[in-house]
Amino acid sequence: MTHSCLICHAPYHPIVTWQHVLTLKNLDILCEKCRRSFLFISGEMCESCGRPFQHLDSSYRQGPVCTDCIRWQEDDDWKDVLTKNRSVYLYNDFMKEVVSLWKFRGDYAIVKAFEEDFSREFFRHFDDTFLIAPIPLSTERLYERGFNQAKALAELLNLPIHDILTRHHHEKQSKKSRRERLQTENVFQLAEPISLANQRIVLIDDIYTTGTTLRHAAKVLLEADAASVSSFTLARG
Amino acid sequence: MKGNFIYIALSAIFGILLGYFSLHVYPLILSSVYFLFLLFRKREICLFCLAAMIVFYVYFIYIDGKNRTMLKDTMTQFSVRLVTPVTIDGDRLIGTAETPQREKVKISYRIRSKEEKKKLSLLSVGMVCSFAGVLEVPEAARNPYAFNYKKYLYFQRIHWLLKPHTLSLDHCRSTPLSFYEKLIAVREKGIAYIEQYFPSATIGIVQALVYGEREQMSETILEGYQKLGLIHLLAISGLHVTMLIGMSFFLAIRIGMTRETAALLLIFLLPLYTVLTGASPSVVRASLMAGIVLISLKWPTKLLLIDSLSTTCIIMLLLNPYALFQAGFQLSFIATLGLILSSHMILQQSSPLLQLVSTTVIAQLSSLPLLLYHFFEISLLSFPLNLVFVPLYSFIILPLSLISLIGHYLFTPVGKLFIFMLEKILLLTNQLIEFLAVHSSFSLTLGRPSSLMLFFYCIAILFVFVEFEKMSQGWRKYKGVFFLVCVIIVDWFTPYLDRYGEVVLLDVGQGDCIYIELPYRKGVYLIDTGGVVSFSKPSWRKRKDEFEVGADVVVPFLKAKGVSRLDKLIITHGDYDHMGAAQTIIEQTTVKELFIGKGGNKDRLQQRLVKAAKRHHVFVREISRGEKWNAAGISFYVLSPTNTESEESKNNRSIVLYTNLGGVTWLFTGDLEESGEKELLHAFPSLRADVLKVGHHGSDTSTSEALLKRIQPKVALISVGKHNRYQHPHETVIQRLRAHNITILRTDWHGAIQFIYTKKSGTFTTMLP
Repeated sequence: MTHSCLICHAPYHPIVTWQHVLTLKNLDILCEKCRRSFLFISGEMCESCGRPFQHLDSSYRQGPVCTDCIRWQEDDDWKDVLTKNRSVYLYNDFMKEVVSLWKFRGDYAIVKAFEEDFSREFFRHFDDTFLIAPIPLSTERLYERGFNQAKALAELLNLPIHDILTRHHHEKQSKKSRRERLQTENVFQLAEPISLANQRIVLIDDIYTTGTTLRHAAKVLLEADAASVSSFTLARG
Repeated sequence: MKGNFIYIALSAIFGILLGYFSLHVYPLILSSVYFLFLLFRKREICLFCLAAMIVFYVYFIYIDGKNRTMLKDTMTQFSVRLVTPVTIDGDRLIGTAETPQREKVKISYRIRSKEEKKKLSLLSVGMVCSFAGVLEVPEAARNPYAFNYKKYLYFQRIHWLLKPHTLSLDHCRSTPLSFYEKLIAVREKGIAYIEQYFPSATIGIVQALVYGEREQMSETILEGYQKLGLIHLLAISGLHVTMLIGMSFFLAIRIGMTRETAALLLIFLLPLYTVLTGASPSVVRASLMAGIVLISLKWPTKLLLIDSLSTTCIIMLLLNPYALFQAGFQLSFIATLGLILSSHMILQQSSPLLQLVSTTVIAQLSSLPLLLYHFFEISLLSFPLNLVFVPLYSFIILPLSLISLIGHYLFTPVGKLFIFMLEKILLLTNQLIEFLAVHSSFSLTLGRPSSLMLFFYCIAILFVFVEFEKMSQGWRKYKGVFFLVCVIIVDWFTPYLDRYGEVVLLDVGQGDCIYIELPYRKGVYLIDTGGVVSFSKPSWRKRKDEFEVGADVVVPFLKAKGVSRLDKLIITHGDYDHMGAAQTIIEQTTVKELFIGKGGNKDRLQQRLVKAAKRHHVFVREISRGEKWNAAGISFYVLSPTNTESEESKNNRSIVLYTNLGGVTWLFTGDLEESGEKELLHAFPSLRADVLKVGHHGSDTSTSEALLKRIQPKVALISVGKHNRYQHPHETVIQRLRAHNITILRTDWHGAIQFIYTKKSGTFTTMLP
């Protein structure tokens, strides 16, 4: 029985450690090389959107926050919509490849490779009192893709998932500019008219790029009286 | 199956333990817990593991059932074939031989003359010798925690010590050697070569590093290495074997072999290497593992390191299930397991120095419970010393040993140059080791942990590794370490929470040594130390390390109890068999107070002891009749000697102590003789004692009828050497005791005598039934 890596498909030796022998952990389904190519967001970061400051030009930074977040805060419509965002990995070239393999080429099983890191990092920033809401796909897109990547990620947390949002079909986000994204009407609605009074919510998504999608979703939730809305994503652009 | 072999190996171990302890409740509970773990966490292999457990259980029962002797102790004529080289130490010859029915026996012979010694050194493997002799049952442990020679030999399938009346080369003839024996002969020659040509400081270490032979190493150096946690350097280890294989593989490829041929060649050479290096558990483990890895190179899928280690363990246990009970086997596997499972943590370290540090820490940590069980203490100097000695041995001493040996073979002058360098280095390191071993008080004497403590140690250590592995942030990383420190502290304080006290008459041969521990360890006393009178011997008779009661019996016993501090050392009088080991004890433990009898300072031996005691900052006091001390609500009364200086003999000036332990009254009489007894009875007319430590080892000069009548003891304890030259205890004393219906416990028959007591009651047990 040979192990082959879920991402590069090369045969490899899984590392066996104390935790594996004590069955506290399963053997890694990725080879060491691929595993090491995932880079964590660590060190100094924007306290609002979780953007790493490490390789960021200092002109994009003002104190503990990045200029992007300042721009959001200056806009009266979007001020304080998103309490904070945190992400697990850097959205580097490797990560782009992995995400495209997973999302667009439909290799659903890859999600298992994120399980340990995703869950550990989630509990580092949030806890189980938060309400978990994955960003939904429109029915058309779900049919096209076969699975909702945000929901797949949310399932890794082993917490109850609340599908409180639905989404209209529109053009793909990745083909729009920031301005266009901002100006589009909100694609999200509440699935059912419910009150979210006193609920703190964490939105789950795969990637935080500009934060527009997440803020659109957050706005809907805040209008339903949510106490606060944060987000947690797999990667941060 | 990948990564799962370890569960099978563990099942095999549990199977053997169940067989060995014949389904005792502890191993049963442990095995059940293990099985439940498999059932819930590893369901896919749990039936397979259960099968392995049962197979190994049955296999062990089968092997153990066959481990029986066919010889009878009535036999007197023997014709046996030597299967190992004999070792001659002083006037003692030891060897292993096989009867024609292929049963192994240990030959033990006392050499009578220098000429005979010279002749017998020509005995070699494969010789068949005929002689008259007797079979003796090997001795089981005579003291608590002591080495059990009988069990040790039983694990080697040896049941008898064969003692020839005379052993002569004239009645020995050579027989053809098997291939294995030829290899052993080659090894012997190699060892002798080193002995012949190398300077004395280097002989032991070079023999150990090249041939895995420690026989000739000085005991002090060996003990130093062991005490400082460096002993693994003197064993041929996995690192050693891996380095050699790496070098040979590289060389083979250099001279134009293909990788496949080179691997094949090595697979054939490994068994030869194993035999040449003495086939100790660590060499067998390392070679077998290397062999498995080399073979698996040919397979389509590579074997995980952890799987090859587990497979090696299973194979070794199949070859010899008794191997599980060897300290070398246990330590070798546990340290390797620790290093393999932590290898990713070691490799994460950025600098080679940090890698070395973590390797050392991991190896020490994973073997901690075993080290405590076998050696009773851990050295805190071990970590820094390993950091120096591991590279020193790996990169300088080991290569230099090999180069100088090969050099000496090929071109003697060059070899001599290397030997010179090696000698300089080893002289220095040996001095350092000896100095540190004697002077450092950095060892933590925790004693042998109880089964429960061992269990907690294991859990704590697993916890430490898991927490470090999780890479948790901040203090959480040290949760495991914190737990381990707690376990160590609890282990350290357990004796102080124990409501049981203990009196142990240690079997020190001819002599007295009585250990008294009060409940909750509120006091630890030693009455006398024992001491073997060494008669001057011609040099050919002298052994490498003469038996010394202090270092060989008393100190190990104290360490096993976790006692590194004696509150009082009471020397009853100045006879060597009562105080011979006192100096060793003062040197190797911390003694708070030394009590000697009033006027004892006039005695030459005691004078010397008092001087040594003062050097070690021991408070010395002369005690006499009328004094007493209290501890834990128990009073100790000094009944003798009188406080007036008298012309009485040394024996009659013995310190006599009276106390009440476990609801029973005790009289410790030292070597008091009849006139002393008379004087004692005169001074204390109403003296009674339930337990009497019989005076002067049961000599007929002591224990008078008058004493027994007055004292009315129920139990008499006699501390006396087996086959002693004074024929103690005397028959008339035994008769006298019998006539009074007194239970007699004697160390020559029963080994150490233990009395475990609480405030109100206590029980006697003996080491030998």
